[in-house]
Amino acid sequence: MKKSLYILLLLVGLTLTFVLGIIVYSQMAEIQPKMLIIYALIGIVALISIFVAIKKMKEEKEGQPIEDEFTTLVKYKSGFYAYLASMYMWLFIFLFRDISSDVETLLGGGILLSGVIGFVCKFFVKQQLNEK
Amino acid sequence: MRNRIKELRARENLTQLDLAKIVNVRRETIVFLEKGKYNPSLKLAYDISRQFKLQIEEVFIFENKEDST
Repeated sequence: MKKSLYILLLLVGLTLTFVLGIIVYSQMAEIQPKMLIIYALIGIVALISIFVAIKKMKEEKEGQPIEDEFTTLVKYKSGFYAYLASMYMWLFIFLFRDISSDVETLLGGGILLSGVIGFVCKFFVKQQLNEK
Repeated sequence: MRNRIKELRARENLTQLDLAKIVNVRRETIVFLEKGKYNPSLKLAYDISRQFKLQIEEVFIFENKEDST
């Protein structure tokens, strides 16, 4: 219970700090459209993480275990697919690196996309676990 | 493989959460089991069957395509 609460507090704290940072930065300088895409990605990842943390905390309160054989299987399978997809993503980032000359943007975008790929893979693995 | 968990659970007036707590898994696992989207481990199949006081093969029905032809 405590662990879930700490994770939730940390996530909410990080998200609020990030939003505050963007508000302050937008008053000092104009935000570029490509940066807006990255901010949106960060926002999506943060929102999904907060939603998952709240759900886990609620389930833990109900007396359910945090992990069981099903979640472990989904974790391993989706982890494998996310790893494969991330490799292709980094290859594409390398091939199309001329789109942005800013290395930090490319790296940050890549890391964020890896997070999104992880969520997507988990969703699809759950949908097709027993299907041939 | 199909199973009779939903039917047996209804017969014993158990919710998905109740059964999940008894066999020490998450409610999500019971949901996926009932939908036939997940095949349980032998231990979980045994725990569920024992809860309903039945044999494993009475709860989990393995359908071999060759048998039906």
